[in-house]
Amino acid sequence: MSSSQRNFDKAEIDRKVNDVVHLMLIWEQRKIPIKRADINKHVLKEYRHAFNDVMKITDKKLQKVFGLKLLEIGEGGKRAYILVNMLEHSETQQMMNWNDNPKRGLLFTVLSLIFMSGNSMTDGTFWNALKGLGIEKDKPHPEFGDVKKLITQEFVRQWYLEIVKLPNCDPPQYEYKWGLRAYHETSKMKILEFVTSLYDKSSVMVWKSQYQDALEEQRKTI
Amino acid sequence: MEDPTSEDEGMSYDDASVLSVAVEDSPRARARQLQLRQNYRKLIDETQLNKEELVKPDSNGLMENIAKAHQLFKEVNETRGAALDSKFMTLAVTLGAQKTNLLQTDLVAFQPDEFIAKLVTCMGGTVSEEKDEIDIPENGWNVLGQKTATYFTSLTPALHPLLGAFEAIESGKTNRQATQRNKEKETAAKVQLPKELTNYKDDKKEATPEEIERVLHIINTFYKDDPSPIDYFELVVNPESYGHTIENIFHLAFLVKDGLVKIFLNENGLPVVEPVNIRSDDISPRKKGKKAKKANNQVIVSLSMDEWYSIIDAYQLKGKQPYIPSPGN
Repeated sequence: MSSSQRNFDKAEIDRKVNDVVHLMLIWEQRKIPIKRADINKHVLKEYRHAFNDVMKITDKKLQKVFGLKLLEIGEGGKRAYILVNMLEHSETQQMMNWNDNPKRGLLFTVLSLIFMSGNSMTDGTFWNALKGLGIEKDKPHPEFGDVKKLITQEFVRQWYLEIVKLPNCDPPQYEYKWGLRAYHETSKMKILEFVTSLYDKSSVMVWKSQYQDALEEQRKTI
Repeated sequence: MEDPTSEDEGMSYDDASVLSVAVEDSPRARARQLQLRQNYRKLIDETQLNKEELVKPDSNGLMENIAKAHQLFKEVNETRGAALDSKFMTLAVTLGAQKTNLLQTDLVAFQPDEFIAKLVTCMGGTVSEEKDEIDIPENGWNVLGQKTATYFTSLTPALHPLLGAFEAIESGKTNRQATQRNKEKETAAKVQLPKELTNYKDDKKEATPEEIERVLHIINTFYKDDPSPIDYFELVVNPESYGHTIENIFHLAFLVKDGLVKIFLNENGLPVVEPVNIRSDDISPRKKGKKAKKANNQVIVSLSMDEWYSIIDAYQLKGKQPYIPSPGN
């Protein structure tokens, strides 16, 4: 039944594109970036040689139909795709009850802490700070359960966080940094805006060095 | 004697000159002092009102106001005026300090603890005096999530199919779904084999003779009660299970192949099923393929899930007991 023909059969390509769109939307449930190998394995299979063409059309479809953009992040061995929302935040989006709000709140807290502290924090300082929120590294949390797992595994797997082992440290020490995905879903300037409003300061410029940092990032992305 | 109303041009003033001014106590002098006090109050109010503007690093307003106050003070020669001047100076000094804070690099240093404490407040929580009891309300993290949502430039929705995703997120799930799909495919494929009147030896695993026997028994029972042909679809469709429906089609196919049951189209063009009476007819219980007298037709029956649903609707089978109860009932 399965043909081993390798023609670029248009109808078949369209079908594969639809399957990839479907796959990406479902994969987004976990927020784990999807690799080329995953797409080939689950959908393309014998059509993997058409990968580039399929992905181009997939991106167009995602943009036109769902307002989502396909973004390739990372390089070399660590390369994967994520979906990014093309649409601006509207009031309705704010009102929508995303059911992973608590996790998002925690994620934002973590990203803010790291950025405001100069883009990296040692794990000691990091967990110490979180204590102030009632979060203990090794105690189950009423809202998040195993917070250590959530932060050091889930957020890392989703590429929101990067945890790097510092060399020549005994006992081992880790550095907590922003992951690639974080840069695409928020920005340093946005974090600064949040912190400024939280502190009820008059302007983002009061955070001199962070402001410079955020400006740099803005310049690079434009 | 110096004229107390004369303007002094320079910015600095001499303490001695102030002390040496004789206090004139005339209506005109008192009126002047009143005016000064009014000016002071106005200056103080203005400064208060604009303090946000004045503390901005690029604003010169504060310096200007201080200069104004300085001018006023030169004429002040009584305590009430001096008191107002002090009041203004206190205000100016406070603002000056704030301004200095904003000017200095990193003096608004980021302190993680401070940040965290503010977050707790933001979530509607409280921290005890000794900082060991942190009480965040149940909805706190949700609130924080909602508040921070606008600071994300991209929030993507995910698809949650109602019946579950067929695509696997983890390979374990793929295997389960894949084997299920394969089984159904197998069943559908095998339906074709017996109808082609060819050998069926590899089908043993799907159709045990008992199952086929059971179906035959059911058909015969119904026919005995009501000797009219049974509608094919009413017979095979199980409104509760698509899979079992397919199995029924399959089993029925065997019965036809073995000549125990016949399927034909009635006057309405609908397929109907009737048991073949071995006794009365001229069919001898011979081996398969020997019924040359009877019409041998090859028919392939396929039923997609959508079609299955349509049939359930058309025949209004929903909720009704199927003719052939599913095994295990």
